[in-house]
Amino acid sequence: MPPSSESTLPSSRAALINGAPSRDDVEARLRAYEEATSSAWLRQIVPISAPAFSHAEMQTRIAALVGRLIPLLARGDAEAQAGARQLGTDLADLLYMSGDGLARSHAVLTDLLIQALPGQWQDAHRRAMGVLASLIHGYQDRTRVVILHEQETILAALVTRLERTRADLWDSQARFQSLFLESGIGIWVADMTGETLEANPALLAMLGFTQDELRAIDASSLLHEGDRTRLALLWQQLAGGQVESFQAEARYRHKYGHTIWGHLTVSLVRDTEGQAEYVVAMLQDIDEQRRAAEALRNSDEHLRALIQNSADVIAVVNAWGEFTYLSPAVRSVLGYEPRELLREQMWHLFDEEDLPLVKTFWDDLRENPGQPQYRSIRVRHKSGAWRWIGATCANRLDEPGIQGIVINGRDVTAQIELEDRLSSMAFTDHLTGLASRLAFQNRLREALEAGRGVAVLFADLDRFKVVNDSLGHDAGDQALKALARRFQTCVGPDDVVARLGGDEFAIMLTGADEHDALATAQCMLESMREPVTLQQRQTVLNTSIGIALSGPRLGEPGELLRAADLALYRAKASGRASVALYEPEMHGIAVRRLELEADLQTALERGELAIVYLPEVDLHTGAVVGLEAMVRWHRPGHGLVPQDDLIQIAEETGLIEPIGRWAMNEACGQMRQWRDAGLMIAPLVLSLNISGRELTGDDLIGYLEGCLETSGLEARQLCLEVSERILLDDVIAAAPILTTLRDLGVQIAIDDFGTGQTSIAALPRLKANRLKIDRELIAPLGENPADLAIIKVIATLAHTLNMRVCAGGVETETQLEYARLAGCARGQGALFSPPLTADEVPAYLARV
Amino acid sequence: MHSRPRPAWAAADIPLNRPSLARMYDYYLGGNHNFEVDRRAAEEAIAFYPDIPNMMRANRAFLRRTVEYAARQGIDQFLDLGSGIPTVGHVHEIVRRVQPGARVVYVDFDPITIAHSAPLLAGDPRTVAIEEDIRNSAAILTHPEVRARLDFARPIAVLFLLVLHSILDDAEALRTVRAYKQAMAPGSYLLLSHATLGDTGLELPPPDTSVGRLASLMHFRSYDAITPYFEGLTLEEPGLVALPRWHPEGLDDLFYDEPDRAMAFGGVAKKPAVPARG
Repeated sequence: MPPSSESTLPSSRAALINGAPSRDDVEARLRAYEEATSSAWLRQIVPISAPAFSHAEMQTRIAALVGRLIPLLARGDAEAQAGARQLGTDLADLLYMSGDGLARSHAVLTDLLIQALPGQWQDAHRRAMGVLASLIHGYQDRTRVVILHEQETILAALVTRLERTRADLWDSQARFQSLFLESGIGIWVADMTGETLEANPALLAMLGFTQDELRAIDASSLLHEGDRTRLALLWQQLAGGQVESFQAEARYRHKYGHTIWGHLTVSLVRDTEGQAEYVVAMLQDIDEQRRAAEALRNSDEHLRALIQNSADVIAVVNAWGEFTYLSPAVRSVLGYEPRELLREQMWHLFDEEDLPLVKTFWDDLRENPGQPQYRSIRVRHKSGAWRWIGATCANRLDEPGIQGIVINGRDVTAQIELEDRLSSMAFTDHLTGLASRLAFQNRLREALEAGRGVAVLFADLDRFKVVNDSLGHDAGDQALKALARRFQTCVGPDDVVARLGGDEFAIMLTGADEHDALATAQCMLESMREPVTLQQRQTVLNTSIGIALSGPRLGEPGELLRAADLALYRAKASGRASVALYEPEMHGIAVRRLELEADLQTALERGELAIVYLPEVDLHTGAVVGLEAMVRWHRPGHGLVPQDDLIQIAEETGLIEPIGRWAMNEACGQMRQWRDAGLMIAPLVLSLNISGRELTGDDLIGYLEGCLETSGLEARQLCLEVSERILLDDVIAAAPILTTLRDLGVQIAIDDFGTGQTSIAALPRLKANRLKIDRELIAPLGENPADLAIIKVIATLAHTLNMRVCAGGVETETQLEYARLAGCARGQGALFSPPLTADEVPAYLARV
Repeated sequence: MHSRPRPAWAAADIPLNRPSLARMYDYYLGGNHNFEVDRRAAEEAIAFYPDIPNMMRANRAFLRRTVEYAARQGIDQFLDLGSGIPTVGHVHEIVRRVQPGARVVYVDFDPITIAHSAPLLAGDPRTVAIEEDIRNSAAILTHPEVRARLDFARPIAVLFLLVLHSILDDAEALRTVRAYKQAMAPGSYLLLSHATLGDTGLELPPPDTSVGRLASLMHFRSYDAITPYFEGLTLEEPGLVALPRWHPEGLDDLFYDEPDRAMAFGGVAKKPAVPARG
């Protein structure tokens, strides 16, 4: 006993034990005892308690707990234990589930409350210990519920937040996509051989072709013959890397043969190592302008009108770079009145950084009179903003009427920005050579539109940042390249491996099912086992993988990608190098499961569990020979819980043991009641299902003997049904118990035989004296002679081993006939009777 | 060619492969709002300095005592900057034991923290959680959700509890606190705690270890470096002290006998009607 309790208790303890004081005296002393207990308890837990409550509040709450606990200690019955469990729950909340807090509380309570009792009061001692055990039980239950709940809420927060981020990402991509799709400018993306990869609707409309038709033809054949040589030269310069881009006006052939004028901007897209990869061309229809220009060419008046009204800026600059003429469009394009710029030097309109470039262009122009040249240049708007101007310039310095360089300038800012976006949005990931995000999205859309089922795998390297941080980005890039190569070995020719950015990879498997997807994921995980050499170091990387399969609810690329992403984060949350398959209600399931578990915890106390009895019949005489007791749970508000769910949850939560024992006690007691009521139950065998956990649990034999004793049932009237899986898994652990049970006379049945992995050859090893053939083997009887033969073999072998065979799930006369033929002595199933409540059993027995 | 701005479609991502200080703090307090990556980092830190969970408890207790104190002075609006995950004892639950109608705004820049708080507060129109970096004082002070709940014309309590150490630059940390002090009406309170190495003689782990990398994200400041945060305000008794010594409740308080082990100083200061002379 700690010194603290010694010093606070002597008088109160004496009061509890000795003498026969008056009632008032007892109450006063009891109060003093309570107070002493409270303060000792408080002093123990204050230093470690959760800081959510003030001392004063803790004091009030502890006092209340003590006030509730003391009366329970003396009783120790079931009601007191339930009360103590509730106390445990409240204590867990007060201490925020601190393990240390529980240990200290336990120490205080055993010292103060139990050792205060004299040693010879063993009964009281035992009762109080039981109550304390219930309190701890309640504390643990509460802790578990809170842990699950908190994990669930943080996971839900993660999912919520991810969904938002992902939605933002896909939205921005959708915006880009719509820009490409809805732009009025024709856009053409080709590889370096000039083969069409992608054309937007504006381009298709301009030329009259469909996407597929365009892909099938040689792009140069679209050009008017008169422009082919000129443009072929420009293309060569571009492809040869001499220029990054070029602009030209050229005539194109429409599908129906007529010619259209277009203004063409062609640019190169390079990868990070500078290799030319793609060509992006933008084509603006200038057919009408061009025709109008031709029609008006020789009319000065019309020309002036055209210039005055054109949206393009027409300017003339003299040999020193001063504006000598500006058309009114300069107002809308650059925000200046023409007179503000007239006689001004044009140089201040350019960015200093651009000046060398502009000067070279200018010199070039001056040396080549007559030949118009095109260039896009940044020009400062009056507001200070930069506009991209596409300028076609012609040297007319020698023409007496002009004596200047004529500039036709057009605002191409939107076009340049578009070009810029296209350049950065290439279809290949530069680093790894895998498909890019856009390409992946396109391939995925195509596959889905073609109605092909696909699986999407998202992989994200675990702790990749550590590699980048510790070994540098070059090493990180090297690792990504190596892994990209390995991932490619895991897929087929129709599948797509893409890098979405960072350390995120996506794989699309065409025509794949869950099994294929999991096999690919496994292959990827295995491919990573081999270390990557980074800076002479062997480094092993891991990845987590999320999988989503297309289906009626996941038919859109966005949905599918988001689902794979959610699965990936689920995989990540469950630890490194794991794989998760997307399920539609990934977090809903967890929540419902938690509620189910919580409800099952109390189902027993609330009397929600019941037992039903399934009769077992002699197939030859039709007499009832046994009853199988089965637990049913009517969950308030939800109805009957499916048997498999009930068993699974009970096993996972460990409740299977208390529930199984309750069922044993209940069913044995029921047998006694029926016998006392004069029913002919003497020859009936009561079967109970028993799990592996119960079988190897604490003192099963003792409990069972107790049940037999109080119910007056003989051991041979009891049959424990064990699944074949458990018998095999636990053959070593279970063997001594099974032997003991058999020695006692209890019968052992192998339940649901034929559904698991047990081979017939293993039968002799199982220490059983009954065999129940699963309904799955009985159901097809009569349809196929082979089914009959299988059961015959099982039954013959079982008989040789002195096992009695029972056919489960007999529903029709045909099945009954064949089961008999196969050698089954007994049967169960709807043909004889459904499971009966305890109230229904007497009437049933009287009837047969 | 010119380099043009980064395209807008490069959206931010949730870094789940990195520990979050907010979720580690939750773990230290015994909460379960954390992932393996956080727990591993937290355990590494505990292995280096086993007092950490108790330091966090001491700060949480300081939060409760100071918030209760402010509420008892009549404050009914609170701005909790760098609120973290409310593992145990939300500010609004604590203050409402004293001021039942109190309004509380939580601010944190950790997206998961905010996504976690939002549903908890959803049914309560007088509280809200905002995702923002506390350095963006202008954005926070003019945020419509904040303005809808807090009346800056009346006294308010502004909380900086174990958060300023994450602003590494001294001038920026001072500037941040000053911005909120200016927005506070006379009669308002500043509740502040700050991590310190004080006289513990503790040395930070080398920066090439994982604990060291985490430590390098924090700036432990000395007593003299923390004092200026209160400039222009009047410190309430007992002034700026080690957390366990600020209005202790009893001798059994955590670290009462060894206040340095809390590794943080804290104090509560009131904005005077006429600015005090520095």
